[in-house]
Amino acid sequence: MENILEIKSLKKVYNNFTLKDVSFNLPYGYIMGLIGPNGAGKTTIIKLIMNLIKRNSGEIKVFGKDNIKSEVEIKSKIGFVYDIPPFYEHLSLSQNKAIVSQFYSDWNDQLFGRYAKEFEINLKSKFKTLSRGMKMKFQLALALSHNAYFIILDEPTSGLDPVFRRELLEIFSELIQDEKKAILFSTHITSDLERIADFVTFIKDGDIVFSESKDLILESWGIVKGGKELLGTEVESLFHGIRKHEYGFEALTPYVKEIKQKFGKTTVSIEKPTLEDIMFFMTNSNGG
Amino acid sequence: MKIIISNSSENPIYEQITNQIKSQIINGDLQEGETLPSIRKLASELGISVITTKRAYEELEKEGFIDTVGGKGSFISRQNKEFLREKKMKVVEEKLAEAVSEAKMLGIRFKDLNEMLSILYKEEE
Amino acid sequence: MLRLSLKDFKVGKFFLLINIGFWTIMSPALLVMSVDLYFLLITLGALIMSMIPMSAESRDNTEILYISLPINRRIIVFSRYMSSFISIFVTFAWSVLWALILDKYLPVLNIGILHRISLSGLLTFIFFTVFVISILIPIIIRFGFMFSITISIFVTAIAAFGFTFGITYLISLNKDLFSLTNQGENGMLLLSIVKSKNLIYFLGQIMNRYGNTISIITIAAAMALVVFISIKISVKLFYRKEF
Repeated sequence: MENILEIKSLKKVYNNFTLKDVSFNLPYGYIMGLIGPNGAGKTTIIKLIMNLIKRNSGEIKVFGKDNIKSEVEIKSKIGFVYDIPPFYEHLSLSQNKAIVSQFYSDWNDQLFGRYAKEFEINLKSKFKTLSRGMKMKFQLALALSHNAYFIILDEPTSGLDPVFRRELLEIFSELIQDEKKAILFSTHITSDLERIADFVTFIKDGDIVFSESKDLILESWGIVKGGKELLGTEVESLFHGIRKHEYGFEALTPYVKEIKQKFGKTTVSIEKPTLEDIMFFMTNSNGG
Repeated sequence: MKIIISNSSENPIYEQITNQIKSQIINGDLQEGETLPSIRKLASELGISVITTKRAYEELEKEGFIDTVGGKGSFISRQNKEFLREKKMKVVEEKLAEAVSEAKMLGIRFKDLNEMLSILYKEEE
Repeated sequence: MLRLSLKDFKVGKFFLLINIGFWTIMSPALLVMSVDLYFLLITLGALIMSMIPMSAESRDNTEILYISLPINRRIIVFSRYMSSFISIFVTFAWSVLWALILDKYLPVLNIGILHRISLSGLLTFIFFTVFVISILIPIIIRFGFMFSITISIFVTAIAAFGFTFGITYLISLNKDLFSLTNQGENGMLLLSIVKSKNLIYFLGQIMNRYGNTISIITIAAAMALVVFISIKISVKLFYRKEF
């Protein structure tokens, strides 16, 4: 499997935050979700890929090429959707589009028109009059209209109504029918990922917790519930985010198989986690 | 082909797919040579990850239920009729074993169990 | 690059037209008062024209857009200069044209523009504006637009001195070759400028001594150097800029 994105030992230092030793790959033809609590580093990673900020060390390769050395070449094939859309507030959508489209050699105006219609965007309206959701849709229409192979989105679904969110996921799904394309999006609405992501990369405090196929994660991680008497230092090292309550405890474990073997079905209950559960327990974890 | 997956089931999704395809093959609902949708199409239709459908197809191929020809897609492979029959037999055998162990637990004797079986069989006709 | 520069005019359309309109309306009065004042204010107008697109960029953060598009960062910088120079040229060309039109159709105002300005005067102002822009653009890139506006007044004042002082210093290196006044050893041009308080005649004096062509070429070369250095600095700053 060739990778559309390869990130190796990426490091970025800020005053009060550091992205450390981030490595993960995204193969052609797949969708990856980047999840993590606010401030974990998701937007930083996306900015580093787009070279909006400079990395301190490490490697980023897109389409097999260094993202800085081949910057212009790569960007002609990347469609981007940012959290804060960078367009001229006082111009209309058409005018903003006209500025953007002239720089893409593969710009397909008919396709853009179709998306604009499908997303119900009024191209004559001024950018500043749009709701957040509409602004996102506009960016998306732009990103999809120049035959881009790599679509990168930063929090595309926050601010969107649930109906359009589903539509968006369907659009992604359609897009990925082409094995030469790939999608990376960061989100903290994990339910969107549950449905459609192939890979999930979880980042916390600037570290990658895991970057794996979603299926594998949901199979090997589980929520364990049992009586407090089962807890002991050795056992606790298998858990994350242990929450004790009056009648027992619950915790997250990446070692479902081992826990099953150790305790069996009768002593503990093991449930399949949602990505949200994982994020929740991991965020409250003291590093266990 | 009919596939219905449940997110809340104990079974991982890829297993639900393989199980359903297997039973449809065994039942004859899916015929030899029939084309299966591409892994991407199936994933898109079911709203699940491509990796899941890929895994399901890989399992089915490993067990000899389907063949994948690169560039052309996946098909139901020529099922060994004996092999299929054996598989079906095994299913019945397992169900009978279950009935036997339940009967034993309740203290039902072989004679009574046998009688039950005769009545049920005749009923079906 | 031209496309990128032209987008600046699309972006600032409204305000640019207002700007031009404003000066067009104000100009008869100014012309009647003083040619110096007229051109000084035209200079201001040209500077404002150049900066309007930059202010829109800064307010809406559209630099992020251009960085994300398949455009070389160097080209983005060049286009800023290009659109600024186009603004400057258009402003000055229009201001002279308008004065000529007024001259022809409203002789009652007695503007007589052609008698009152010299090529040297015009060129001085144009070069001065280019000089200021060349200082401002790297500052805007490095410190942002808002900050630059605040200090631009100081920049303009320093530029006014720096401009004349710099050229004067060059000339003073060989005062025999470049002596323009007969004020003895310390016949520095700057003193005579300060005395006469008239920027227009500064270049004129050089031209008188050396003839139009050479003087214009020298000054043009100096300006090209300033712009070149400014662009180099801007490109470096822009490559390092993070969003």
